[in-house]
Parts: sequence; C-alpha cells; structure tokens
Amino acid sequence: MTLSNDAKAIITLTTRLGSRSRPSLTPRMWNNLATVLRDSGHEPSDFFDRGFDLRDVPGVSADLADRVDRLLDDGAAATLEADDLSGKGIWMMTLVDERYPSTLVSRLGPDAPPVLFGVGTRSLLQANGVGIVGSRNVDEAGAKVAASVAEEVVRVGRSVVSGAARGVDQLAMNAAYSRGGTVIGVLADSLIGRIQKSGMLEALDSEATCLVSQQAPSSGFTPASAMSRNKLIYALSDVTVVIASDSGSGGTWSGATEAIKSENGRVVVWRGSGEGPGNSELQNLGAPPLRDASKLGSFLEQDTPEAEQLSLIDGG
Amino acid sequence: MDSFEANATRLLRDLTGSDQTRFRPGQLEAIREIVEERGRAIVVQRTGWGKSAVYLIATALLRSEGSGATVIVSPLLVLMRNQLEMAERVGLSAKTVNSANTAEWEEIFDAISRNEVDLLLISPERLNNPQFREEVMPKLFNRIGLLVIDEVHCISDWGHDFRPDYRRLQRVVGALPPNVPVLGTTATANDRVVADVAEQLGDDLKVIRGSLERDSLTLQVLEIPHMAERMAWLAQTIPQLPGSGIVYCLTVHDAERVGEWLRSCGIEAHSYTGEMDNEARLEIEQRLTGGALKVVVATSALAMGYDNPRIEFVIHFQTPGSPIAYYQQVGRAGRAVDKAYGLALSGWEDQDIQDWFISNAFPSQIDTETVLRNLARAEGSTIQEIEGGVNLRRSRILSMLKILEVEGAVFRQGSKWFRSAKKWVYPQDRIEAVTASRRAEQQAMKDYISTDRCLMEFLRRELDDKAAARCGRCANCLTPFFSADVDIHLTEKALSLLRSTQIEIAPRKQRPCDLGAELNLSDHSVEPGRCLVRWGDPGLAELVRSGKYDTGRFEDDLVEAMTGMIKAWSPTPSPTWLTFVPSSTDVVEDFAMRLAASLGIEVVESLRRIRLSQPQKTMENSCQQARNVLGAFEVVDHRPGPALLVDDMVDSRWTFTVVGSQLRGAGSGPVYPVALADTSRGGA
Repeated sequence: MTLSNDAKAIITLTTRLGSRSRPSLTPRMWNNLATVLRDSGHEPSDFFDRGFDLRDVPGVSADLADRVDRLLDDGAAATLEADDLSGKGIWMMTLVDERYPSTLVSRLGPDAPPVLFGVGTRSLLQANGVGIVGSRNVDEAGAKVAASVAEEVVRVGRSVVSGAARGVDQLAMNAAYSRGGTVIGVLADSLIGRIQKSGMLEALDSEATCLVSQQAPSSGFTPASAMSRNKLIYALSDVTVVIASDSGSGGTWSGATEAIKSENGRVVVWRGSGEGPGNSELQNLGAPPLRDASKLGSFLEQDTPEAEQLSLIDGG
Repeated sequence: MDSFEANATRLLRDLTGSDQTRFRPGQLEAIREIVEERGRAIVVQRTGWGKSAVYLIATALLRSEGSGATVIVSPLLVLMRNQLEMAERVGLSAKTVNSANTAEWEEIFDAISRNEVDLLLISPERLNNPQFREEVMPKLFNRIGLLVIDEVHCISDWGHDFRPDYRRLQRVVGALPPNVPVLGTTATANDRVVADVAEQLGDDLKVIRGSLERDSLTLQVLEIPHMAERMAWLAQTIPQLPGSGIVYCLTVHDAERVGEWLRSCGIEAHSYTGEMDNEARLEIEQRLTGGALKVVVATSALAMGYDNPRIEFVIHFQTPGSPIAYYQQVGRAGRAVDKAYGLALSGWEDQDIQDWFISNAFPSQIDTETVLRNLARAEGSTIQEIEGGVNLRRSRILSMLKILEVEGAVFRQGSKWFRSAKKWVYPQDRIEAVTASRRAEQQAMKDYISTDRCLMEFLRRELDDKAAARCGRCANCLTPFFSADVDIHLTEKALSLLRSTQIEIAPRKQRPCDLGAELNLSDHSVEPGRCLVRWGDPGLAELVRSGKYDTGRFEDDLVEAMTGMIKAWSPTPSPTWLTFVPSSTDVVEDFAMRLAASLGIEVVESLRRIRLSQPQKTMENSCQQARNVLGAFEVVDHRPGPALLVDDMVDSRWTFTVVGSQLRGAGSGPVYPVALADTSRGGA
C-alpha cells in the first residue's frame, strides 16, 4: 500500500505511530485545523513543502504551530511504522480517502477519526450496516435474540456491525458469518492480536469480514478507547439494536445513552425475552422498541445508493 | 559560478585535498537535485566516477541548512570504512551500525538524538530485522535528511542481482515523507532496471547517466569446455599475469576446489564464498589488497563488497548468466592501473548451472501457497513447524519467507512467523516475465562468448550505454592475447584432483522435528563418514552416474577408488565388517559385496526394507527426510564390531543417521557411513 502525501501528513499529525509519546492532535483538533487549512486554500500535503509555515495561516495559534512542527520532525518514524503495519496486512484510511465512510463525517462531525486502521474488506464500511450490541454476559434467551436479529440483518442484505467482544457481539457476528452474511467488527484495541488468532484469516480471506479501529493496532484497552469504539459502531450503522443492557452503567448502557443524546446514530432497543435490566429505560429515553426480529426491516432506511446520499450532502 | 556551486566546489576540494579539482559532468547536477530541490535522483556511473563525492557534499550542504542526518544503505563492508575516513575530510561525523558493533549502538543513537551524527551507514539486511525496525529505525529515521541507496539496482527483480532485503527499501522509500531527498547509485543498470527503480523510488526521479567505458580493461573470451583443462589453463596462465586478481566461479564448491587446485600448483590463492563468515571474508580481502595473495577464487559473494582499485585481472572460470552481471564482476579489474585483463573462460557446465539458478530464483506457486495456508491455520509457526508442512529445504523456505515478508504476505514476531491479514496472490505473470528476461540475458551471454565484434562495446550496449563504441583494445579488436592451448600434464594432474576429492559425511546430531521416541541420536549416533565424489563432477562421478542409470552396475574402477579412499582415511577403530542400505535393485548390494572382498572384511545383510519409502532425494528438508526413512528398515542381523555402512548416494545424510542409529541400537560397534556420490547441492 502506498500512502498519499495527504495521508502521510494526517498519519504524522494525528497518530502515535513511531512513538507512543508523540503529542498527536486529537480528532477535534485535526478537524478544526483541516477546516482552517481548507479555507486558506491548503492541503494536508502542504506540510511537507519547503517554505510552508503554519504560522502564516490565519487563525492558527503559535502553540498549535509549534506542536505541528514537533510532530513533523519525527514524521518519518510515524510513516515507517505505518509501512510496517501495512506489511502485516493492516490498511489505513484517512479522512481524505474517497473510500472513507461518509456517515462518520456526517454523524461524528469534528470527532470523526482522522485515521481508521483495519483489515479485510473495507468496502463493507461504505454501506450502512446494522449494529448489534449488548452485554458480555448474556443469558441463553438473549443469545438467541442476538443470533436471530443477526440472521435478519443478513436476510435484508446488510452487514452486522458489532464490537467483536465476548457475548452478544460475537454471537451476532458468528451468526451472520455462518449464514453467509457480511460482518464489520469495531475494535477498541489490539488489532494486531486479532489477526494472529486462528480462524480470523480465513474469515478475512472470504471477503465477508472487516475489522476496523480508530486506535493504533498495537494499543491496549482503555475506557476512552471503548467509548470511541461505541461511537464508531453507532455511526457506521443505519440503526443499532441493543439486545441486552445493564441499567445506569456498563459499556452498552453508556454507548446507547450517548448515541441517543448526541444523535450520532439511531438506537432501537430489544423488548422481550432475553432483554437486560436497562432495556426498558432505554425505551423511556426515546429508543423505539423491537419486539420481533423479523420486523427489523421497518426501522431501516430505504436503500439509497451511497453516491446519491453524498451528493445530497455536498449539494446542501 | 553561483554561490551554491562555489560552496560545493570548496567541499569537493576539501575532499580531494587538491584546490584544482573540478566536478565531473553530472556530479553537481545530482547535488543540486538533492539539496536545492530536495528531490530524488539515480546516478548510473561506472565505479570510480565519484558517487560518494555527491552524497558527502550533499550531506555537508544539507546539514549546514539544518537538515537531519544522511542514512546510507550499502552492502559494502569495506566501503563503509573508507567512507568514514572520507567523511571526516569534509568535517562530517560518520557512524556505522552493523552486527559487529552492537555494543556501541546505544551511544550512537544517543548521538543521533543529540543531532551530532551527520552520516550513518547501515547494511540492507538491517532493515529486515524486526527488532531493528521496531526499536532502532524510528530513532534513526527521525528527522532523516537524505537517504542514499548504494547499488540501487538490487532493488529491481529485473536486475541480475535482485535482493529481497533491497525490496524492503522500496517500501521504506514509499513510507518516507515526500520532503526527504533520496539518491540511488549504481554502476550496473540497463534502461529496464532504471525504469523499474524509477517506478519504485518515485515518478520525479532524475536520472544521471554516464559512459560505462573502462579504458584500462582488455577483454578476451576463451572456450575451454572441459573443467580439468580450464583448471590447467588457470595454473599455467595466472603466474604469467602481472599483479593480483580474481577468478570467479559459479558455485561454492567450484570456488573451493579451484582454490585448492591453484594452491597445489604453488600459486598464492584463496577461496572466497558466501558460506564464509564476514571476518574471514574481510581477512581475505585485505590479504588480496595487500598483495599477500596472487589470486582469490570467488563466487559472486565477492562482488560489490570489495573495493580494490589495483586488481589487474579478472578471470571467469565459468560465465555468469547475464552480460550485466559479467560487466559488474569484470569491472573490478583495472580501476587504478593502466592495463588489466578481463578473461571469460566458457565451459560445458555453464549452462546447466545458470539454468539451475534461473529455475530456482523464485519459490514455486504450490509450495508458497502451502506455506501460507499452513501459516494461516496456526497461531504463529516456528521454522521447524513450517518445515514439517512443506517438502522444501530450509534455506529455500527461509528465502521464500524473506520474499513473502517484503511482499507483506507474512511477518515475524520473535521466533514465530505469521501470515499477514492481506490475501496475497502469487505473481505468476511477473515471475514468468522476469524468467523470460533472464533467459534472454542468458542468450546474450552466449552471444558474448561467440561474438567476433568488439567485446567492450557489446557489454556497454547490453547496459544501454548510448556512447558505446569500439574499444580498440580487446582480443576481437586486436588479436587474442592468450591461447586456449593447455599443458597435457597439468590437465592430467587436474583430472586426478577432480577424481580424488574426498568428502566428509558429517553425522546428523539434531532431531529436526517431533518424531516420537524412535530416533535416539544422543546414545546411538553414527561416526563421521566419507563420500567418493560429488554428483555431476567430471571424472569418477561420470562412472557413478552411468552405473546407476545406464548399466545398473558400478564398475570395478569405483570399487578400487573406494577401497583406496577407505585405506587412506583409515578410521579407528578399524571396521571389521560391512553392510549396506538395500535398494530396489541390487546395484548397491552388488557393489558392497565387491567392496568387502576388496577390503578383505565380512559382509552382512543386516537390513531389511519393511516399508516402501519415497526416494530420499525427493525429500527436501530434515523433517521430511527423517520421517521418510524412520521405520522403513529393520535390523535383522549384525556383528558387534565397528562397521562400514555402504550406500550409493548421500544427500541429506538422514538415511545414514537413522539406519546407523538402528544398527547401534541393535548392538553393532561404531558405524562409519560411506557413499559413492554426494548429491547435495551447494549454491553460490
């Protein structure tokens, strides 16, 4: 994989590749800076031009310019680690990549991750999937619901989007995969570790699977990375079905309430056998209930071709 | 002269120590491209043109503008030392990081992070070492000011000297920020290789090409088909040649044998192959440079790594498969002397050996896919585990893994190999195209042997040198300098050396993989043995071949030679009985009977085949070979004294090791393996 100069600039400025202690820019800092650059007629690759100085761009603070200079100084270390990752089969997709999922931009706005790391078939990310989330410790009834919702997702021709964690996530992904469906796993950490597990490469080779993360592939799990993982699941999905949630705490609860509050994805909550203690409260907070897996289709947007959606957004 | 040129010229004069020195055409142009444009350039110029002046001066200028350090990737061990000295003349601090100075690495990296190093030299192999990549490269490439790739033609698999380690550089260059200038240098690249390098280093590559004429070099071709005659020719010709030189052979074995031969003829000669460690190689290089050796007999391992401008002759005992490879090797001669000879001897075996190199250049699709499939199923595999799943010798597996690694199809973590997450497709079309191109080069080399046109012009045309013209010096322009006639007595002597070569059969000591408890090598190992000839050699080896495949009987000459070999060897304690490895025909049994009679010891039919195994020569690695022979024979009879164990061929030595261990287990005394021919192959 050869990265464009724009991509190299974004990787250099927003990731901690090359050194874990780099003062990389947060998504919000980068997206704001990108807007300022665009307004003054610049592109990310201009950072590599001799004679380009961020201090000459109006609206950029001296602090930010210093920080960018420091990041550019060890840019080679970052882009070289990017090359190492691609040697392991990991691709990187930046905001300037035309394949970057447009729903992330429209739903996450300034929090859209500047770089996505992933393996497998990245075109799966361009069509809206259906999220399936829930507790790690799910009972037998909940497991059945997770599987039957996943099978319904396959039937209507969408990808299952999930967190690839134990419990509901894996049950849903396995059910979809074994039915010949497509699966998007969104990871909070350790992408490299995943591809070293047996069975994963076969799933990737079948071109029915894509794993994606906004964290560097060798990074570990943190509460913050878990939150951004949840945001990605909701933002990549047309709707996300909460199978079983705890009440008031836990990853599923916080992800769902955040999505309802900030409107970065639509939440549907399962009501019926197998539900969790928080499901009814999520309904009260405004998530419409799903009581029969076969009715899932009524919550999905009509199949609008992606290109048309894009032109609507751009035209507006 | 602008101020840039004035500054650059001042540095050039510091470098040469003379205030008259001017730039050669192309030098300043390359420096400007790097320093003023921060661009990318490839310099194709003959050795000695002054490529190092370009990057040393460019480095000095870039550093004065505040750029980071220059990293030079070069396979040249000796060159590195010269470079360090030259760098000092222009006030640059140069360091090298290699396997010989690991203790200094920390200090060097600290100096780099303090921005106190101007120039860092590393070998391409370093770039493929995972630990180096993870721990060192980020520090090293942090603020890199210029990347120099020496011998850049090695990056192209179209070239005669493609090296997977160099392919990694392509990815390194691709990953670098675009504002890092890159300079590639080579003396041997035709248009196709330059185009391929340009594709890999970036579209805007500036190509600076000069004439490849070598005014001092005098070329001649001599066709002397038989190996013994060529050996005789070397022995009679080398003492007449002025100064010191190099004899190139195509295989390690031939380099060793010819070196031994020349020494036996009283010539100060030493062999030099890729199987020797760096230290030994360096010592030979120094002895040649210092004049202590008349000649070094080398494989292509002595190529770019050796920089001695006073070589006065380069003789090819066998011809390489491409005129470009030939130009590079012969070009080692006559760099700082007025006249030097480049003599190509052409023999019968050249084509066979070249064919072997061409057809084994890439791993096969089926083997590659088998390895990748096995890796995908496992959660990491050691090399031993990989060997268990594919019938390929270990060196071939390792070279396959290296290629797959730089292709991004596999990666290493610790001692384990993993398949990457990228589905990799075997590049059949590209491999076929490259193979076809190598076939064409092989034909061009044949044309070189037979042409009656100017030899230097021929080589320069092959390198797409636009200025190629008649040299007026070679044997085709003038008249031959050397006759192909050889002394009959020397030929006889060479022939008897070819016939008398003894080869030790070293016992296997290590269990290759998990084989159960059947094989006990610690208590029941065999003794070192002997083998009479190398398969495919002239002389006795021809008798072995015809006995095995044509007549079904090994002639009495072989019994006699084997008897002589065993008597000369005289292992102690002396063998009191003899047995043999049964084969499907009775050819080994028949030979063993006659050998026992000739030695005057008892022959015992100790072994019976109880399972049909595949021919051992089709098993390519230790695990497959040991597994193939385990349980194939049982011991039905033995004697308690020391024994000779006879077989016709030896390749992996696993048959001897396993069967001998069984004999020992049954109660036999020490077991000495003996074989007629060694079929294992030594590459270059």
